[in-house]
Amino acid sequence: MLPDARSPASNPRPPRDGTARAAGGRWRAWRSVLGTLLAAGAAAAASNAPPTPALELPPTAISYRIDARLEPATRALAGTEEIRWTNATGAPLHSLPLHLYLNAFAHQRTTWLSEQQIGRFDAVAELLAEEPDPWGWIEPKSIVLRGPDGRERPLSWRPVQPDDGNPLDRSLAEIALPGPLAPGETVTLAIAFEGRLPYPIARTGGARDFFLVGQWYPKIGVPGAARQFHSTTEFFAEFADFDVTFRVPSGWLVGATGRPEGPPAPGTDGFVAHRFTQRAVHDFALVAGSRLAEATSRHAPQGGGPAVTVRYLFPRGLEALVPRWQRATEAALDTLGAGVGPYPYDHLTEVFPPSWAQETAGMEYPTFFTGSDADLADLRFPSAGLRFQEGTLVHEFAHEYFYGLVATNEQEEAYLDEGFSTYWQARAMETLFGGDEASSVLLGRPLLRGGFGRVALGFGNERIKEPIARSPSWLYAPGTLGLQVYIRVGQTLETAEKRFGRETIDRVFRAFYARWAFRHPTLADFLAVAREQGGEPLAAFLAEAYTTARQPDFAVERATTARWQAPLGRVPGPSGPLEVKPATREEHAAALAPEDARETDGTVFLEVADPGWTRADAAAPGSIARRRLPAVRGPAEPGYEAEQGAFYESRVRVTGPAWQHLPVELEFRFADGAVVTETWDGRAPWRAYRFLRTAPLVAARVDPRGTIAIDPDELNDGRRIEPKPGLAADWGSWLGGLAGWFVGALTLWL
Amino acid sequence: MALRPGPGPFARATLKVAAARLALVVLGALPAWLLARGAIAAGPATNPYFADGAGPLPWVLAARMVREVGGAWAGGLALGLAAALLLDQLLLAGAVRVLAPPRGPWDRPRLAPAVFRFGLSHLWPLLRVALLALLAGGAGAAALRGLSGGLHRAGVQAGWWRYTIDVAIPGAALLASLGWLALVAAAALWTRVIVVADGRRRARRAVAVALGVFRRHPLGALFGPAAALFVAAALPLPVLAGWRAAEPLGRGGVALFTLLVLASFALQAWIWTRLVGGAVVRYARPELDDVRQAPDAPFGLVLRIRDAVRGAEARRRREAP
Repeated sequence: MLPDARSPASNPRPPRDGTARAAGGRWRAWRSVLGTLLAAGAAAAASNAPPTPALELPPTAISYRIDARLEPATRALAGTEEIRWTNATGAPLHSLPLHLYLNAFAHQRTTWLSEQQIGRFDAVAELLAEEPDPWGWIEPKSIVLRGPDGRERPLSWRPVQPDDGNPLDRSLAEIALPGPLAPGETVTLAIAFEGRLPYPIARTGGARDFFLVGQWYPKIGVPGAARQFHSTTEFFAEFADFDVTFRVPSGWLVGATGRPEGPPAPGTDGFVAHRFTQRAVHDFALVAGSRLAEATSRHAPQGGGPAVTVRYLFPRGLEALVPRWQRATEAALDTLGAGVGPYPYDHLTEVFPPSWAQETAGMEYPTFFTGSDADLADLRFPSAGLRFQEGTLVHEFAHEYFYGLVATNEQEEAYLDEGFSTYWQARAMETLFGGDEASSVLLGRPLLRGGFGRVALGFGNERIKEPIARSPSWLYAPGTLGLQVYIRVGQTLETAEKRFGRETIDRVFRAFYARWAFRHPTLADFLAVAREQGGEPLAAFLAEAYTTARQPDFAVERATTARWQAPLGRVPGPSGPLEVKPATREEHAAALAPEDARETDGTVFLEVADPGWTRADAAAPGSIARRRLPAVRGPAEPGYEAEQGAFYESRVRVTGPAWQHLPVELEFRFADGAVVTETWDGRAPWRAYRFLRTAPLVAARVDPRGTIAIDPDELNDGRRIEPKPGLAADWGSWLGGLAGWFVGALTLWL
Repeated sequence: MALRPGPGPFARATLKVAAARLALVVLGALPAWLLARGAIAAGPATNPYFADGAGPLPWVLAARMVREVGGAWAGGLALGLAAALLLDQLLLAGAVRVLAPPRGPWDRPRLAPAVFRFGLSHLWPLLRVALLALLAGGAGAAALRGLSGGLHRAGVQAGWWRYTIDVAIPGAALLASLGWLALVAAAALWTRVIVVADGRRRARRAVAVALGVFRRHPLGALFGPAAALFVAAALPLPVLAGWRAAEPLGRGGVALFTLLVLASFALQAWIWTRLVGGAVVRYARPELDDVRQAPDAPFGLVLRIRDAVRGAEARRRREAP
């Protein structure tokens, strides 16, 4: 196994630290303002002007120059590429990995199609029903090594399957070098290739009049870290400079990573060459369509950086959606710009595929992404009020930071990029719609209270039995990848934000981005930044959340209240022992009630039973502690009347996941308006509380403010002693009416 | 012979039948209502997650609450529905009798005895009519669903708008299915009236007689009643939707909407009663004498198929060397 190519030693450029950023901040702010003013009046010229990144793009060790052609009628691709590749691994290499991702769609028994999950992608049978010939592939016709003297030497290559040994899978290949490539040495490879885009499947493909051209060229992998293409993972490569010329029939609109270089150049064969360049990205994608429309907008993000020209490409007839996309883009640019760091490019292309090509929707590429598929349905009931367009857009934009710039390894630690993007998606949606209104609305009623993440976690809770942080990413338990890498991480970060404050989380992400952009960090790197910027409790919580198998479910297991009665028998009293019999029980109750229960100082007495906990390296014994807590006095419950001399014994039992770094707040509400809160460290599996007061318990709640967003089940977080008046009458009668409708309608029919 | 009872007795009979029909629906809903109310009081109403929020319950929370009590509600509904379906057959038989043109001034049948006498004696053929209606309705809906599915696949392959594929086509299929069910409901109602009016035992033969009536009076006997049944079935829906849209409700609001729902059931019952009465009177008309005279004999399809098969076998044996 070669040294980790992602180590700091492999990156020739030293990281920018906070000092450098502070010193350059004033100049960048002026530059940003100037850039905005100039850009407003020079939009056309700006497309040819050199970009002014707020974050300096580093030099790269790789460059691609690609010239390719797409034949829409046959979906055929053909092209040549020249790759200059410098060995920055620090060790000599005898071969280079070569990704041939399109081969994942060549036939039914590729690794990808064998692993494909029902639920995200069409089953093969359904795909074949849509398109009898959906297959795609790519094949290098020749690979030659170009020497400095101009001589060309053919190289051999062969498919390899290091992950699963599937001999039918050709998504990864190995190029044999004629001799060892020393560290720092550069090779120039010329590859001629041909292939075919698949019918839309898994983020790439096309047919008829629309093609999303993703993972379409032979791509040099990261030595030691290159994997086959698996159905549940995405891509990983080193940063490179790209110069791509793409030829499509005349009249077709083309969008791509990067910026156009010059106007499209018509050829003599009815095809037009579109050229794009982009420095320091790790992938290159395009879109081509004959029935696309386009729009542009320009926005100067909060948080600095250049003004960004955004290009929207979408099916004709859907211009009415552009304002929604624009608002969402600006919210995303502002939210991530202010919270994480400046977006370093002055351009962005957003593609919204037609609904029949929805398999190409929702995918990120550098400076280019596909949002949700766009359709008339998005302008009409019932979809018009839903916010999937905005939600997908801001999620994909967030990827520009964590996939595109920080560039974590999607195949080993998919939960980093996907989870970060999910969290920042929620932040951007909050910017766009504000608080609880971030939820979609249907027929005037919100879909949810709070985010959808918790609901999703609840539905999948029983299936999740392994930690978030596991590798490789394609071996999560079936049906759990989405929950683990997207939602569980998003909820973890939301919990961290609620516990430690948004400023702290922003500080962590800002430092993480500034330090690790272009450097492929790992979870350990992120946690180190969290420790440094947010403190040990934050880092300890995050580490536990990432590495614990089961989700943390707190629950109020039971809550009871009963009128306190004097104990029968010979009971010590204030003036000596008393013989308490059933007939005299009431008479002695007030006298025998413990002094603690009288609350002469306004505090509430409670008894806490904690069983303690045991770990391999530490233990804490159990105890039953008696203590007093202050109570907040609010209005009494409707209908409550205090009864002289009456006492109530209330018992509550709460359970928890026994995490070491997840304390939780508990709230106990009483009929006289007293509310008692207490913080439980959550380390024991349960706790029992006993109160003796002059008022009965009304309700007990764990995590009343919803801080622990990773708790997968809100339903068990609270109990009322008595049912809420009116809810049963309202909904019960309504359900009765619904039953009557069924009875009436079915008896009319039959 | 008068084709219709005098206005006073007819109106009274109609009111009694409609009231009985309303009671039937309320009775059918009662188990579900009681069980749902109890389940909510024991469960969601004690859960701050449902009970302590402000404003209307969001969709997902409402769905979760309904799911929590859905088992109890569905069980109660199944029980009530089974009872209601059974009682509906009995009631219809009694209604046919009391709403039929009188044979003389002495002919003033009472509802309850008519329900028991005519309902019980015709129960089995009426249940078979219900089964035929279920099969016909299901087959038609399945055919429409198949057609919708085919259009869906063609649309996906042709790259139509998703709105067309996923909203317009299924929506149209749903409406068409509801229309088909309404037609089946009208046919079933007429068939049941014919079974009771003629004292028939053969459900399929009664269906053939009904088809004969539809040929004579397509609008008045089939499409008109189908439209009326469609409207009657849909009546409670706006009230139920309005109830949830007005959430949260106090005691007064709940009472008001409960009354409105009951009023929609009452209107539904009245429409049903008028349709039954109208069918009874129309079927008694002289121009349908020939239709009414169709025998109540089996079609003998099985016998005919058996005879055809035996005849073919015999011919083969004769022709064999």
